[in-house]
Amino acid sequence: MLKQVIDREIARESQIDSRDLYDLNLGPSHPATHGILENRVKLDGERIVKCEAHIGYCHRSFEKLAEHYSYNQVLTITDRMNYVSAMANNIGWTLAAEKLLGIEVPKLVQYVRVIMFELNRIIDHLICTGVIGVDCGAYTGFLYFMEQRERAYDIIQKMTGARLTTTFGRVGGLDRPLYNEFKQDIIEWMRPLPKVIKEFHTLLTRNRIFIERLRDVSPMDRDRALEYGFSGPNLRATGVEYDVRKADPYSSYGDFDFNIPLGSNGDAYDRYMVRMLEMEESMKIIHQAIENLPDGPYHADVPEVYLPEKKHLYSNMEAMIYHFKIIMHGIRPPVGEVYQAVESPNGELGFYCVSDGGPNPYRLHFRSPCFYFYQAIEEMIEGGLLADAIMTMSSINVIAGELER
Amino acid sequence: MSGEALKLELLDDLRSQFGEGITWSGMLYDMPTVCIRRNIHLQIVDWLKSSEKWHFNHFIDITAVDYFKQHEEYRYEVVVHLRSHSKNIKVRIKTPVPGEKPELPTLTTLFAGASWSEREVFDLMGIRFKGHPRMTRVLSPDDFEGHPLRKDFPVKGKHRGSFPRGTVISNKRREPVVGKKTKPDPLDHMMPTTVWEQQRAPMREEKGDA
Repeated sequence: MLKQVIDREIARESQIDSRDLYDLNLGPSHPATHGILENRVKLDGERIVKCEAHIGYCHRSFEKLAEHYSYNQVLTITDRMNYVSAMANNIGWTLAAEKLLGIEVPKLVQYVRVIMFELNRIIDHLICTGVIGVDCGAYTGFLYFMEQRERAYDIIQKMTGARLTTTFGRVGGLDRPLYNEFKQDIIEWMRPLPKVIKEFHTLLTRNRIFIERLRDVSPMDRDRALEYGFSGPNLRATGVEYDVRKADPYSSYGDFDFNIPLGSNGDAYDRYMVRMLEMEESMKIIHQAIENLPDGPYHADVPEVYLPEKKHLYSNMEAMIYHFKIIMHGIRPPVGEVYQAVESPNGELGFYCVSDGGPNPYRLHFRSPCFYFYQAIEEMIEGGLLADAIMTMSSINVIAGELER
Repeated sequence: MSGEALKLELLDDLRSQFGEGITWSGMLYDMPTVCIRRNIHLQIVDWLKSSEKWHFNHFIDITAVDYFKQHEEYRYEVVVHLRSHSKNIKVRIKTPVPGEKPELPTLTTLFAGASWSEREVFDLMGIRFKGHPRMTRVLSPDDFEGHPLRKDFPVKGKHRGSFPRGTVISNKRREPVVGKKTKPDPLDHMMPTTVWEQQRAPMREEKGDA
């Protein structure tokens, strides 16, 4: 039934006989869609007349699973949401659970979280901006960026033991003390970054072909973007100054001095530029955090939530009791509901958690930023060229794992 | 702090504007929250968006919670989060929906972003939104039966899937039957209504059928 309705609409709107339109399935497994996304488009020549987005090929029902997991086990789910910057999700969830439990973590933990959050923002933007280049035929810059990304993964591996599915931190602090060379490693990692970013700028940013491919592609009006629930770089590209780090600071973000890059047209080029500039701001934050990294314990003093160290189990009675309580009874937050938003690399990542005093969340909803701006894709690419649709998809940086959870 | 005062002022404004329509209002952690009657669901969002003073124009989220067998008069709660860009505050609106014929008016007329959120709520929770332009499933396949996020939906699924547990695909004798629905396991249907009553039993219990 749908097909006829669409055909009729198109015929009415554009005065074209719908039989002349060409049906094309852009996706679900297409190298340029970055994830298992399907767009059914109707083409009039090279122009897209109608688009219908279909998602759900990567749906794993995390919200249902979370209802059967304990609060620390949910961390493993959040890894698999935005797998390009998994730690950002981990930190978001630990913050939400801590808000629910009313835990204040030590300054060191907050600073380390900020450092890792910004590191993940940088590697997320590295891949997104690199891929924009790949999609319009400039492969070199992508390789420059991938090298830096791999180096970041070495740090992540040292931190957590895993490269992609990090499961970083626990409710109440970090999962282990910082390793000794952490500071040097971060500084070492950041040393070549400005040069690489500058090289990337010289390769692409003022490149005429690149600009022509991106400028005025799928522009978004700022009011429309707010109505759609845009957030993150895609919203800031339209000129709306909204960043959760500034609007509602969490994890000591208020201590740092940084700017929010803004665009003006909301087109693909602005989205690219906002991401490029944000990387430099993130580096500024990491520098400040590394310089002022305080000393102190690596977790809050909450024995009923945070597992005691293993070596104390066999010598300390209280440690053993708490260990038993946490493992057998779980962490039990008070009855209540909480919404914690963090500024993930893609935008506002929210955790809406309802607790009724049990060891599992009663209901956990992930407000993933992709879900809200990907539904605008139909509106964004209709009326444009087919080649521009690819640029739109890569410039809004949609991650299928986060989109469909 | 001025933020807290603003939030309380917002709650006062909402109470004076809607009076009877609001059944409960207050702060939950840092979020101003109003529980409303079902008939003003569209009205209150419209007022929040069009109000000169508050101007809640940033759409954040729509989701739903299933309070299975916990309340007498309703079963679901639809939760809407909105944000005012000019005032930089968020608000949460909770609307109860009965278990029989769950239905609400759609918010797509006010916020374009509500479209997929409402489809997701319909898909996973089974609440219909009247007037929605395309009330179809969004995450699960079109021929999926049931609504997975309901509390009476078993976490393992209602039917054994195409690949029963322990199946080795290359093994000819136990080859999965694709497209043919196997009989549901009667034990699978009964998930405890509140999972913490049985601690973590539902995920952990193994029935030895593997």
